[in-house]
Amino acid sequence: MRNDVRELRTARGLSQGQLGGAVGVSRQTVHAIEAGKYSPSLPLAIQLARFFERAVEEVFHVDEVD
Amino acid sequence: MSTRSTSAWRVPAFSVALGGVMFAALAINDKPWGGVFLAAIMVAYAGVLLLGGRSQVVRVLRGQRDDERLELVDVRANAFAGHVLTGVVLLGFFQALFRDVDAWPYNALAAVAAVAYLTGLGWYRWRT
Repeated sequence: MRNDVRELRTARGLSQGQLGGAVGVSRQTVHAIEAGKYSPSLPLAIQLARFFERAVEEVFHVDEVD
Repeated sequence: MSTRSTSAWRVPAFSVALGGVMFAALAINDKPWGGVFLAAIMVAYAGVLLLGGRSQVVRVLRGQRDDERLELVDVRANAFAGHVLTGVVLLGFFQALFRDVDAWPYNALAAVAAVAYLTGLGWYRWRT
């Protein structure tokens, strides 16, 4: 699942560790989310979206199948 | 996904305690140095857990799965270990069959694995 977490994070001048601390996960988890290697749970996805003051679907994009 | 965490000292302390039990078991059977060796391994393991720093692998081993991704990693690692162990048990069982020898303890271990898996299937199906 594609996401805009990295772009939103860097636009706010935050490190991965700082973002992780803000939403209660590790730096490595933030990295895994940004790299598309890990899909966050619904509560975490909502937390991230609220942190960035966006709707969940504006941050996380479900892959569309042709 | 729910997460759970425990004190950083609990698992290392349990490891040291297990080392003590191992020492006692071997010492009772007149093998004190074997007991010392096993206890030393458990103490060294406890040391790795305590001094493991910020390693995520060490955090999982310490029971500090306070990150949902670590919780998932732990679940998957347990499943992988279970599959490997089941495979080894089945290999042992079939080699005993082919060699026409007593399949103990492979048959008992395979039965335990099967019952445990079915119990888990039923339990988690009911709970989720």
